[in-house]
Amino acid sequence: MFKILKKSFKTGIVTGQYPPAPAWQKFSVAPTAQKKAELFRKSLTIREVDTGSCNACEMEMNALANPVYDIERLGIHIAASPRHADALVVTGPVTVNMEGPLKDVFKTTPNPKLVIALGDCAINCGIFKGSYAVTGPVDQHIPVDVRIPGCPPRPAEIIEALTELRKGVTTFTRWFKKLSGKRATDS
Amino acid sequence: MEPVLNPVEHLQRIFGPAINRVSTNHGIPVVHVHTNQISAITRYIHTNEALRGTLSLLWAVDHRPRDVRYELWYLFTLGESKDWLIVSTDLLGEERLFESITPKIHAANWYEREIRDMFGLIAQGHPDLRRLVRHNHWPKGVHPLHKNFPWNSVLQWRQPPGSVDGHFIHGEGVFEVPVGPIHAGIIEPGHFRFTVAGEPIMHLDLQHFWKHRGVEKLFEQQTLSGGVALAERISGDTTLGHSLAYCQAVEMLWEIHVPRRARYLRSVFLELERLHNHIGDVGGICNDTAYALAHAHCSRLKERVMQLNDRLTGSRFLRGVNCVGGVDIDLSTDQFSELVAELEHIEKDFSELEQIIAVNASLIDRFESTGILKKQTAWDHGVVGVVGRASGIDRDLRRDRPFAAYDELSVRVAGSSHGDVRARVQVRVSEIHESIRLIREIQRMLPDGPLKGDRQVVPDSGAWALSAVEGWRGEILYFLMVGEHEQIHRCKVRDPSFVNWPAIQMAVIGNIIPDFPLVNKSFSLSYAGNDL
Repeated sequence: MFKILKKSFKTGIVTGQYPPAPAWQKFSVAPTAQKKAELFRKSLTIREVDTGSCNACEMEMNALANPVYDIERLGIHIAASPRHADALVVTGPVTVNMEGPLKDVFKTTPNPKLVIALGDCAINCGIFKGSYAVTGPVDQHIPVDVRIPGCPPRPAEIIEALTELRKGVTTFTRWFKKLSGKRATDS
Repeated sequence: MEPVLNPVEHLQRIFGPAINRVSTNHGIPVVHVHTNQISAITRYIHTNEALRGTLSLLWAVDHRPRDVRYELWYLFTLGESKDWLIVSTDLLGEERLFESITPKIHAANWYEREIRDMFGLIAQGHPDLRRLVRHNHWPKGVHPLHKNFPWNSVLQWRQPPGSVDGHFIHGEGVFEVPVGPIHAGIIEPGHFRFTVAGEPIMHLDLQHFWKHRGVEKLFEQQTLSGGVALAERISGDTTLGHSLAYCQAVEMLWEIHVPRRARYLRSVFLELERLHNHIGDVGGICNDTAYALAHAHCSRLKERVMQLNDRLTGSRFLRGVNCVGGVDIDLSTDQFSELVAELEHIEKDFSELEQIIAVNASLIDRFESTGILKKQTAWDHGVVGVVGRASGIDRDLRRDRPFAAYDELSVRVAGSSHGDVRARVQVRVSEIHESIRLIREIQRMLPDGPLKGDRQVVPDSGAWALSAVEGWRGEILYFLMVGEHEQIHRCKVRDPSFVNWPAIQMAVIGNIIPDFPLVNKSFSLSYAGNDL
């Protein structure tokens, strides 16, 4: 017990000890996606679906949950089932064998939902483009809202993109601002 | 006293007339035999006391259009010497049948099923000729590695037939538990079908190849120099292992002499890859017993190694490090000192953690005697790498067939004979320390010099090379045959996962389903590398 505590004290807090995403890698998220993400500004539950990636993207997704990145602090959780998810993160080109399961997962996820294509393969099939066993990028099978490029994108970049996605203001805030602005002019 | 014969002479004496010709390629003896004798000869190699060969790889080559024949290749690693021996045979013309060796050599099971799916060649007498790579919804008669199959004719997905093609056990109180392909954690897709009676698992049926992307066919669209990027993306966690094995194969064909400094740097990067994966796995295994503390510390340490990779090479996964002929990334003396200092720190940190883990009784209780893979079972399946070493299979290519700079380094091979989860954790922990020690040793020995060698020859059409790398998971094998204009004619990739997956079916028998994630993580196999 003493050893465990000593180790924890010695280690201290490591969250945030990572180099920032490079400046050239700025993410712009479509306003429509931002609008869709309004509901999930405070809490976003993700289900990750691998449809044929090389597993580097999975490793980076796993890294998001480690103490260094700790995405729980941003209100992002990883769900064990698509039924509990707000957003699907899809990695890899869609292989002929995974096309069915991907569509099933999409159907199972409750509305409203976001689909995030993570990594070059999910966006344009990357190096596997054209193969007999690859039926196309993710958006050929299900509608994609956000694209995070990279091979694989660094965890810092994923965090940046997810933050950008949830930057939009909610209808309530907009309405509240409008109202308070009006009141200010009234008085 | 009888003179000691080399393996080829040994075979010639026993099977004289059945052997058509004997040749040697890059030091590997190739015995070309009659098709109808293949079963007898391979069985002899497998069982004979002096040879004791384990089947390391079995693959087919379609020689069309140059020659109307298929060729089957059987690669054996011989018992004591760990030397390689290839047996090959031809299927001429329209001949599609060959004798299965699976009834005698268990390790051939998946290979023969794979050959049937990819080439349409049927192993007669195979006990289990279900489809392996081609799922049930694939149309009949599709064999993608046929030379006349267009690489880019995309298959159309159809609703699969309702029945699952599996092995079932029926009886009162026997249940089936299907899991996957989409799992609860962030892992890759695979379908597991457990048959249980009460808690213990009676049978596990694996259905993989969900992620089959047609990698071997994609290689055939590349020239020799263009395949590195694809090799790096076969299994992301083994980026360097795969690219190194591919580069070595091309270097053999081009007869490139890789400079010493490049070979040393390759060893450094390979050990770095081993390090981040092993540290992550130790944490992952602890996490599967719900021991979150160890997982948090291990993933923190893993992240440090990956950030170190990023600082040194610009890629967290060491992508773009290897190139044909050498390496693209050099390490300055300062960078090397930074690397070693960081590793010292990580080793100290990890050792402290080890002391915490080692005394946790509930953790050890879950580890011990869970998922035992017996030595004999491991040998029968030809299991390699960490899993094999934990079951008493003393094989490590870094020592047995030195590549990169390992001929000048002495690698202490870890091992255990228990074959349970604890043994696999222990092997990983020893390998973590060994990797750090090796990098420290390399720092002392690192020579100066160029980073790339030049090509010497233009290989003839039909020339081939076979290369092997001990990645963090185990032996990675690449067979590369060149066609016209340096186009790749055939590239057979074997990730260690392909041989270790079937063995997991044996290791889980008698364990309870809640222990399956633990056993699975302790094997830590790649789905992408297996499915190709």
